[in-house]
Amino acid sequence: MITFASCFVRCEATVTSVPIDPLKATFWIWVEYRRQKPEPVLMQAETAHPADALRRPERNDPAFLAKIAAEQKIEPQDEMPDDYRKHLVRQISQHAHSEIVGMLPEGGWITRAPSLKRKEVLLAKVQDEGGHGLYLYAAAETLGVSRQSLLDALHSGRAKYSSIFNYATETWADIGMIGWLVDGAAIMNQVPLCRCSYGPYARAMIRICKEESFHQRQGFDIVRSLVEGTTEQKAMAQASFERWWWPTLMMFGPHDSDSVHTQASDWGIKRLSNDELRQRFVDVTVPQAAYLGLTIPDPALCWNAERGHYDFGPLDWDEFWRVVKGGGPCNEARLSARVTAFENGAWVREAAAEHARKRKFERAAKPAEKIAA
Amino acid sequence: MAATTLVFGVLPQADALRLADTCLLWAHRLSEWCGHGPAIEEDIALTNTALDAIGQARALYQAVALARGDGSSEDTLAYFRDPDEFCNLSIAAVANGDYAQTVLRSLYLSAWFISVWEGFAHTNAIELHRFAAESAKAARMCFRHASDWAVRFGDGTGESRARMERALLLLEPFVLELLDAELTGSPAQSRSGSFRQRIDACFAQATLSPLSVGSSRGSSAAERRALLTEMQSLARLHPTARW
Repeated sequence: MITFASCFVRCEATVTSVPIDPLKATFWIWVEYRRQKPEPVLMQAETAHPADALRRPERNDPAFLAKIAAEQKIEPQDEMPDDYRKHLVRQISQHAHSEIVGMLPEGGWITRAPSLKRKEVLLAKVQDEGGHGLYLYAAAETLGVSRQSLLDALHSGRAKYSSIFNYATETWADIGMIGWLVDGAAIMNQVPLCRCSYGPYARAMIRICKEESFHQRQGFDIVRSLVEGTTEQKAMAQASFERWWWPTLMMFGPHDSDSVHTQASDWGIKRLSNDELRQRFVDVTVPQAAYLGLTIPDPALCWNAERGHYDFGPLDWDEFWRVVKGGGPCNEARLSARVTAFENGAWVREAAAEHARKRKFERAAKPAEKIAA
Repeated sequence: MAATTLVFGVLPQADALRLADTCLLWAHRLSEWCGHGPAIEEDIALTNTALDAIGQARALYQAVALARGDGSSEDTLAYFRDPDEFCNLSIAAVANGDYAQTVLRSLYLSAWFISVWEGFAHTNAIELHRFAAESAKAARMCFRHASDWAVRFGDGTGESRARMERALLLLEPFVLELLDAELTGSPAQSRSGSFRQRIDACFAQATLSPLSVGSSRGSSAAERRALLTEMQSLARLHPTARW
């Protein structure tokens, strides 16, 4: 029998079993923000990194590979091959960009959420995504790059983010689908990263997966309220499911046979292949859709007893590559919104930097007065 | 009569709705920044204030609905009242403008809410006392954040100072209401003193002129109508739906 609880992925007990209070989680981020130095450090310039002075082993250095094989974490101050560092910078920053760009499709519905509870939960959820972006930019910075340089790459189109966010959120049901399907797929991808060989990334992922687990449940809860609702709400849910099913399966990337081989597996960064992850996602999501009474838009979908998995139809790889290359419904709007926000905020960041500079000179002569709150 | 039933046992419904509507519309305006702030840290900070304000609005609407006992709920009060029935402070509905204007509105509203919530510190109504104490904490946190930025803008670059001065002019017509709005259990006279004190201390550190209060009163009725049209659109399209 399919029950609500059994519908959810139990990937790694340590990650998914911790109860998360979204408001407490977001409060924690705020507290961390408040604990920062009196003047905010908004995107420091690139500086010399301690690791620059270290020996840089070859990509197949036996000692380095042995350390990874022994499941020892690589830390920022450790020696690492240049390619390992570059791979991590690319992967972590793409992940960070995805979190920040991912705030946009859902953010557009905060002002239209149909109840105060949904409005509050969605706001907390999108805030979490911003927090994830911050953790990840910080994790990337431990590899000797600045947030500024990573954002420059995003804004100029040199860096990628998850293509799923280039699809439009046409109805409220899409907000449920993003939580249930998109965040569900993200969890499938990200849980193995909690054991990634690079310490700062692995630790960031533990926290992120805990919060994503909550996000998936809130998405599922939105969809459940729709399928239990009026005829119009049910139709809204089904139509949305049909829009998001295939793009979600594409989130796992090209087939293994078409993927460019990297050393990510040897380096303990990638633990499972694209096709393995995609299959896992289909296997756990099909029963969830059945529980909700939604029809999966795939006539080829059926249980294969011999394989012990669901078979499913072919993905539209032309669409996949079209969206990756910028031809999706919202590529331009998403990037433009990020660039506009960044450019409009330039004077704010400059004011903070200038004020901090003035205070630095004044501080020695006169301690800052506190404004009583 | 339902209309005379007090909220939390002591607060007239009109006062509770005024506080709730102000919290909700302010939260809505702050939430419009989500994903569009000048830095990720600011997206998170503004969202935090918005979450606090929505939480306060919900608690107050729920208390009003309970006092009415007529089948009202937090959602019927938020989504199914017409714009003209809202009784928020006008400044809450004003469109965001640039970041200086957003910061200045937060500075004014958080200073106002600190004095309102602290005004209930000695009430015998336990629920209101608890709610006001929590809300005062949140308002103080918001005030710290807003005053930090007001100081950076006033004493930052030429552009940030010019933007801050423009924001002061734009929001000046809404200050008088902050000073003279009457609320039961929280007299305007005692509130306006602490409000002015907080704002002037911040402006002094920001090297800005002391608070200027004009005699005219601004209206944000048109902006409120547009805000509510958007906010209530989906709920009103499916009036019998549960979400």
